[in-house]
Amino acid sequence: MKAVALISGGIDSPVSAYLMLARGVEVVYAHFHSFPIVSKSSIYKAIKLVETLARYQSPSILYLIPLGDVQTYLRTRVDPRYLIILYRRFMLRIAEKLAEREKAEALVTGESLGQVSSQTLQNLRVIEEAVRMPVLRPLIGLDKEEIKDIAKSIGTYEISIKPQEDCCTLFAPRRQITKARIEDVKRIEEELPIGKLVDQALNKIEKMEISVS
Amino acid sequence: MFRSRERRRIYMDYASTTPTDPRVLEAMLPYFGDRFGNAASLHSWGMEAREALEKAREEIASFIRASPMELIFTSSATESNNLAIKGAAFASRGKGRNIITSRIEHPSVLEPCRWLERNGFEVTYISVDKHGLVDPAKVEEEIREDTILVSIMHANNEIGTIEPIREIGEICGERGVLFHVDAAQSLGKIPVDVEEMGVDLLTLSGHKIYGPKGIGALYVREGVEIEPLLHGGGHEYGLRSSTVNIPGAVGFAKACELMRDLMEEEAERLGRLCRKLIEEISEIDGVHLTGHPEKRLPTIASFWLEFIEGERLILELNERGIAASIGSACASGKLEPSHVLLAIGLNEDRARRGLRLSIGRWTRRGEVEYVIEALREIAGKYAK
Repeated sequence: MKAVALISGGIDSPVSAYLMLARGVEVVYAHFHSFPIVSKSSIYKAIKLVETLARYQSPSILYLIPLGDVQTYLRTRVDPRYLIILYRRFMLRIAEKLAEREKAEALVTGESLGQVSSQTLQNLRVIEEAVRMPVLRPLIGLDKEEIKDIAKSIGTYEISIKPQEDCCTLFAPRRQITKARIEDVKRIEEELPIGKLVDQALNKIEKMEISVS
Repeated sequence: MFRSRERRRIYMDYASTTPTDPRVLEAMLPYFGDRFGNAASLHSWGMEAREALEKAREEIASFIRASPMELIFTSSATESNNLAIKGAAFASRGKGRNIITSRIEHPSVLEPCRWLERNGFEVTYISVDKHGLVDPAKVEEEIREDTILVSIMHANNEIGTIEPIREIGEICGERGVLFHVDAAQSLGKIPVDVEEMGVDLLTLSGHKIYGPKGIGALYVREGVEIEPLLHGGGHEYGLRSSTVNIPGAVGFAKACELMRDLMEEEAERLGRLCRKLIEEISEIDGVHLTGHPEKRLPTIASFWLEFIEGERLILELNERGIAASIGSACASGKLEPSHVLLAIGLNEDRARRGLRLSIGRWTRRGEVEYVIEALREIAGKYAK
């Protein structure tokens, strides 16, 4: 059993990866970053997080995937309320390609329901529609406190709360849509060179092998 | 490169500063030219600068086995020492007010400590033995309930003695006290490894390892809290606001990259030359080695001379084209006795008679022989 886990610098995604590891799944990590548009701090955090999780699986593979070009492209062209959904659809598409290469069977994300206003069932469904591979969300029914408790017990919490210039803050709109409709999203995407943007990101991917430090 | 054709000139003051390696200069030049961007800008110039900055950070961090998140750029070792000591003191004010350091630290450690004393902190100055060694047991004895920081240098700049950092680091770790080490003089000469040394804060400098002047760095272990000295735009993880000196950072990183390959071989070659200096100069009547006979940097030969006062000696050597130093470059302008030589037990008169010869990448055997000969000649002239 093998899955590609999307890992940010935040609290949730390392916990979701850990829960999969605990079920005996081999996890390959994918971190999307916006360097050099913003600093490398999210990358350094992702490395530290995977190093910490390497206690459960060593060595671990971490892919660093630049999303900055996609973000810049979208930020200057589409309705800002759809940005987050579109970014996430791009991340899943890229992760799916990576999973195919890695012969993995699923994608893992740190999403849970209702934690932020954009994490609605409608939105999750629209995001997931971008790929065929199953998207596993081990945190779906947990609340923030439960997630924090696990993060603390596995030692990722302290790393996750370090301040960072997040890849999302620069490119995040003030308002985002809470109930996206798949038709609207598809209409926006019709105008975009999706395959080209995905391939561009895949070409600039960096692979790291991380062992227990 | 820095020898004149007309007259023999021999540079034996590498411990005060080194020439910039031509490969370092070459790496820096584009960042004075069309890659001049500000690393905080969002456009392509900024991105280019940010890429260079982060690559530099990674290179230097890995040279001392740290994570890039733990390394911030400063303007100098002096700034790093100030930031480490005052920054840690102010961040830990709620925990206590005592700081422990040694009597032989660089002025950029001692002066911030004195400033803190004037601002409500208490500083314990630990004495050293006749070789300039700090006894770890003494550090342990002096740690009190309200001790927040211990600051001890890795290697002394005047007499080259290497301190038992790992042992002191262990003690500080056990007692839960922050440990700062000034490694400005040791970097590139002996291994500097933050994990093995057990340090929380570590000072580095670019211009002592063939990098440019105007760039330093401070290692801040993950989880260690310090207050910034400079407030502003929040650069360097908020610890050092200022537009980052990209050419300097690139040059410092290049210097580390070169050191990674050259250090072992250089330390051995220079160690041989340094031993030759020590052995033959110590044989001259009235000349005495200062610092530890073995536990010392492979690049510093230091002495005190019965027959000539330090400044006069520097001028005599300069007459013969030789650049040497009394001790630290900062002290060269003053007539005061060296605080380091006083601390190792010399009286005031003797503490004004120090000599430091420091060698480096371009020192050749012939130069070492010439300097030994010059000192024999000077001894003949002054010794009664």
